[in-house]
Amino acid sequence: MLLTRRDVLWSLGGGLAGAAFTPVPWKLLDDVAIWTQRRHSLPVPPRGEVTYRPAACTLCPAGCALRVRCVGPRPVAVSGEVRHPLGGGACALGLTVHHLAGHPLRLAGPSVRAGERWESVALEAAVGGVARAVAAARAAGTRVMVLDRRPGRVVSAAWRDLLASLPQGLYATVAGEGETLATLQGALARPAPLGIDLEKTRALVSFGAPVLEGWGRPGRMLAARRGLRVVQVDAWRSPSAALADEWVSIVPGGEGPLALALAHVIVRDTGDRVGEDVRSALRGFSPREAAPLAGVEPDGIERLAQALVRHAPAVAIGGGDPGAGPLPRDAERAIALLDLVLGSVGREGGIVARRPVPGAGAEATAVPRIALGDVPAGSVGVLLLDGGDDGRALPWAVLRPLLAPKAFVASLSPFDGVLARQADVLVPAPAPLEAWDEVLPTAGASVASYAVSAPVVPAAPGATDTVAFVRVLASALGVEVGEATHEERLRERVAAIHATGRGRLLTRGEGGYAEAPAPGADGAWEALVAGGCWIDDETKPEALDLRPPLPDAEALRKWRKPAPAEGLRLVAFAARGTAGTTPPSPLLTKLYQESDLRPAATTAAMGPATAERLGLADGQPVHIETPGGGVRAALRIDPTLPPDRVALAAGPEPTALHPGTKSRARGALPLVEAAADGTWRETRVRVREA
Amino acid sequence: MTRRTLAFFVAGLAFALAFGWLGFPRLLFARAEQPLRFSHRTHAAAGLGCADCHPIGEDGRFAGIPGIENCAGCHAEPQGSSADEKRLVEEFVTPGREIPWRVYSRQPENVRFPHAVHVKRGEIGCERCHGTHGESDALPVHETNRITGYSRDLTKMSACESCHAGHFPERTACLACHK
Repeated sequence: MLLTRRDVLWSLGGGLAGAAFTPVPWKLLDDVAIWTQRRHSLPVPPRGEVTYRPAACTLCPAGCALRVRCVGPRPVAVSGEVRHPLGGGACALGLTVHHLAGHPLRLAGPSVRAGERWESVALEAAVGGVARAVAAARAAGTRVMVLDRRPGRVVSAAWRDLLASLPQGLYATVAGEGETLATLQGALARPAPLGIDLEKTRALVSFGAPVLEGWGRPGRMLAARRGLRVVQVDAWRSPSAALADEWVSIVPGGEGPLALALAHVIVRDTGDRVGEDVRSALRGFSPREAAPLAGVEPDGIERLAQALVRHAPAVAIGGGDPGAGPLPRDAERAIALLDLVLGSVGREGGIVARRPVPGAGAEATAVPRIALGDVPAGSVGVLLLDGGDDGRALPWAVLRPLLAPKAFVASLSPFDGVLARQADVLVPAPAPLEAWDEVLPTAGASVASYAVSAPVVPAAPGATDTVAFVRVLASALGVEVGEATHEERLRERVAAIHATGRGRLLTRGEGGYAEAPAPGADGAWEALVAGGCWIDDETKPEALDLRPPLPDAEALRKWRKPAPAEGLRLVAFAARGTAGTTPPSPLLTKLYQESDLRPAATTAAMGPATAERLGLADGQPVHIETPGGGVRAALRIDPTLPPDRVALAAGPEPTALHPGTKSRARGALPLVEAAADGTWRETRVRVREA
Repeated sequence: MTRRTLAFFVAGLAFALAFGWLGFPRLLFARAEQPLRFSHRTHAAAGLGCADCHPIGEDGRFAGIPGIENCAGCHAEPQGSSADEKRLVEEFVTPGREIPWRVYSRQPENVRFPHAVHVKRGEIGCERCHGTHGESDALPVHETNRITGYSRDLTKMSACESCHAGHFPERTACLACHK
């Protein structure tokens, strides 16, 4: 029998069909996948002595205590100190903090912009460029502004020492998680830091704060959660909204009217005696009147207000973020007023005064702190961006209007990020775990506390400690800021804390944390460097004398008669700590891409009714436009999103998770329109098929 | 399709099925005998329990395959007249040389399996995972996957998952088992 080509092809076809019903293709596929995961393809750290070193995570204000497992000199794993007295544990960002020193977006050393490229230069050349820019700003009559996103540190004091020597110095900070408390603090007759007596609070109403995503100190919040009723007021179903006892869906920008409406019901029902100024502010915010302003039904407002009274002591907090930025100042005042009307200020289980952390002299300096929203537009000739990161989103659109023409920008961030890309000079600071750092009380802390974090690994050769940078810059400018190094400034602060005789020092031992008397300032320093912490004495809550924090008349007028809301509105969001200038470890792609547990910046979401009206379908590529710019994203239909809202992640940047990517997706931050007060919660967008 | 083409198609199909189910496993797995015949049944009959040779230490560390010093406690002199017993004493016990056992359960690099947690805290019996291995009269042939390098008898992830999902739903995250 003659074998033809057709016979061969038919037998091959039969063979292929048969092979599909055998283990051959499937087992080979599986085994080859496993083979790629074998030791030969995995990086294995060199062997060495295993040691555990204390550290603190400084990626967000929580400052969680960490235990870093090192093999030889190299950190290989991080775990949270679960028994820490201020609340233990750590989030996914903290557990991968040791990856950041080797992150592909890490900046290698000082460099200056040369057109579209960066040129490496020596530190002295970079500092010389900054010094010349400061001289030019002085000549032009513009300001030199330092933007510090983690105020209160010894680094902050060094900046303020420098600015005190410059006649046109400005020390600016951004709104943080404790903004509602700061608003109340500003209304106190005798200013004092405020905190929340969370352990005795029965209800917490959060206006956009990520209270169940690691707000404040995550361990403390988790411990308090069992006895706490949490109501989350949010424009989208945030993780905190999903985990809360109740989610109140509002329109973007509806926080202020809703807070006033709740206060209105409480004053009406309880007959509390409030001043005419408060009554006047609440006029026009009955549940019926406020319902369309907040996007909440009148019955819902009534029910929530009554529940807050029933669950006293109840506390309302704002602070905003993550990803959507701070709340407008008047919204914070409305929330603070709600706290006052609830009777939560200055009582057990409510908002209580605490003492400040001694030392650093930050509050006594000649250069006062100014909120970013108060910086005059076009006034800044030199902008120095401190490398400290609070993990909160800060779009360039907020900073750009503050700059004078031809302004000079220097970034000290260790990483190539959205703000560093706008700079003229980069002087990267050490990465996390590479430098001295300190942990200050978190937003809502009811007692002062303090801890230091010693370097776990030496700083990379091109990194410059910020205190050293300030000294070199001061020398180039011919001004005096003192010769103390970062470590020496920290030692001085610990000595100042010790000298007060206040509080207790807890040392980290094998069995956990134990109170130990420090033999002296040096003993206290050694205990803190070894992973201990200082916690101030608890004080009994006392009544606080304060004037009502009222939204200003212009805001009230605008809320009472809002402009007609038409079109789509942007809802920017991000997991806490992922929208700042520090990129997350590339390992977290597992959360954003492989598992899709968190929506990435490459995906926009809208409700089914909105998508249907626009003729868009799930998975379709779309182009999202605002006057600020346009981005491309894949559309996801999310039934939990109310009509006319487009949700887009503000972080992490795709380039942080996939260095080298050519993705055109850039997330929400390039789109936002900044208001004059530095907020960006009400950006209108247009969405079309890409 | 003619009868002739159908015949060639069926021949190809039959060959592929035969190769895939009979020939492929023989090619994929390298078979190797253990260096000595070992009877768990004989040792169990002598009154030894699993933990006598495979103990979990005070520090929670699992001893795994016992070292030659454990064998030497009873086998300093031959316990019988079998050829394997003679080899055990002469080649391993007397010179103090470890027996190069081929381990069926060597874990992948990216996994940790704490015996102490499963056996002591979870109170899971050895036979739950190891079956009737403790009653066998001889060790099975060791088969190594030529591609992955792992033993064919290694516990599969699906077995871990099904037990964890059913009994320990709070311990089903990746990092519960993976490094």
